[in-house]
Amino acid sequence: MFEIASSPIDTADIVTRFTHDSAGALSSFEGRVRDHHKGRPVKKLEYHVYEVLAIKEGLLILAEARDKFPIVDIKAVHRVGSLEIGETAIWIGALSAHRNDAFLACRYVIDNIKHRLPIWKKEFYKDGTIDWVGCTHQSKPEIKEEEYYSKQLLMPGVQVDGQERLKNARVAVVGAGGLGCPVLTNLAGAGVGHITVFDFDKVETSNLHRQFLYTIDDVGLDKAEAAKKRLQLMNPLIKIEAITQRVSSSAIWENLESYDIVVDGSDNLETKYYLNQICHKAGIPLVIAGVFHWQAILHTFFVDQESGCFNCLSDDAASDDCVSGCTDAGIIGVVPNMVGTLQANEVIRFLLGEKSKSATHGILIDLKDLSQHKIRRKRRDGCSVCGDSARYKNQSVEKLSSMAHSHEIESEKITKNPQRFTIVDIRPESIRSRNDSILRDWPQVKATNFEQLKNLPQTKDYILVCDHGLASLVLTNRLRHFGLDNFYSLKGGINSLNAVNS
Amino acid sequence: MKNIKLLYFAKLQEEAGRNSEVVITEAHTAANLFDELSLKYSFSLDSGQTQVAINEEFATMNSEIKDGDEVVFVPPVAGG
Repeated sequence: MFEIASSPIDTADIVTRFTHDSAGALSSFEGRVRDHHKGRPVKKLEYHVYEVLAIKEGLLILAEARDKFPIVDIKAVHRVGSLEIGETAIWIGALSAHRNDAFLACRYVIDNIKHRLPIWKKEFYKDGTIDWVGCTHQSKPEIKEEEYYSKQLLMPGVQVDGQERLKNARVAVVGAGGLGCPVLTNLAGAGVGHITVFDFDKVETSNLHRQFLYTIDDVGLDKAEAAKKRLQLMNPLIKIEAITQRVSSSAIWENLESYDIVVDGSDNLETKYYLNQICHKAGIPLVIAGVFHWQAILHTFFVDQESGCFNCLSDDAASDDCVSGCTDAGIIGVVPNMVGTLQANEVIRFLLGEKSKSATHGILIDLKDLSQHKIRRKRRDGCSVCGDSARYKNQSVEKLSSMAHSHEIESEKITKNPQRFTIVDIRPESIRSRNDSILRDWPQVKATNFEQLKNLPQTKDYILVCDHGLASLVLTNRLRHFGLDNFYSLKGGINSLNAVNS
Repeated sequence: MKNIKLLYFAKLQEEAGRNSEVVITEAHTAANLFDELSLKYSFSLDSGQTQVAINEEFATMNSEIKDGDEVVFVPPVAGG
């Protein structure tokens, strides 16, 4: 319930009527008119509103709070018109079973109302002046390229020409997490002219200890958007584009060829294989990194015939723990921040026209003793991406993307034909209990990696299921590459199945 | 040429000296339209400081505007 009130808010009356038998807590917040603003004595104020949109946005904020916190009910009233000192400007109340959720929900609503509702505050000061709060044009110092990049322009190998090359470059960064944050910060600071950030996740509290582009206020927001906002504050001279769709969606790669280089900052092998496929096909260099505990690995692929591609590194039949990313294994900030910074270094040196030593080697770094090993890569003849008989060789990126999706099955279809398919939950045991009760009604087999899946009886049709539908899709495509046409992937993962059944 | 209905609020209302108007414009995006109006009314805010709502939904300043749209430029808000 969200209201705009043009007469005084009777808070005592609202509190009396705002009750529920299951709610053990009512937390409320009341905002009042105070007699000073930034040191200036205030006489009174006026709130103006764009009512249609304010109500829509207010209801949306309350719905978000309900979604984020297990509360029983939530309500907000915002006053508009002319208000005297001490009058109530806003009242927010949340009912919940236990106090913490009500406190958090209340806080979430006021923080968002302040920044999102089309409501404006006009303050009348005691000295007779009047001002729209937040609208005073604070002339920010004009940022000049010569000054912003002045220290970098002194670097041998950069200077004016190099800076111009960075400015004209387009870089795609996939994932704005532990690796993506340092990649993005360093590329934006160096002045890469166009950066596209891909991430479909939201910022979570458990990201903040290592992903330093975000603050507690960003929790719950789209990562790509939050990253863009922060980076743009850091460097307003460049263009940042935020994409919140999944990278496996073919439409977003329509202009893949317009990028100079792609950086993988994803936390899963499947995205890395996918990027490797499309980048190799399009001839775009790709910088891949991965971390595990105190170790990190870095590869830069320049699409040459000698040193192969990411797919060459693993035998196609190698076992592949498809979803246990770093976040399940445990992770500390220094490791992804260091290797992400090295990824940015690879990109910058490439854009400056200096080919990296790592073009032919993978670099393995151990932060326990700061040791570094170079591992020579070689193209593998049997590689399904760049080998002699590469299946993908003659296919366009568009075709590859659409082919990648042709084996997806919508959750509605399987709920209609429960007996036709056997479910294979490919998530690791440790996270499986999270929401798997929904799978109980279907026939199931146990298999979590490529090897096990390959050996399942071929008389049945299998649907691979993971959390979001990406790991299962990549694995399905790999199985089909080996002629196993009885595998499908559940589109949207187990989350979509839960949505259909709820 | 397209007809665009504009509503003004808060500081922009005062600077435009009106609550609403219909303008005929060739502007392609909301940002183009804002710049056009800014020339006319000398707005003290620039397009980087305002948001836009098109047909009662928040949109981005580089959204395309179409004939018959209702456009509201939203100055920095201060609710609560």
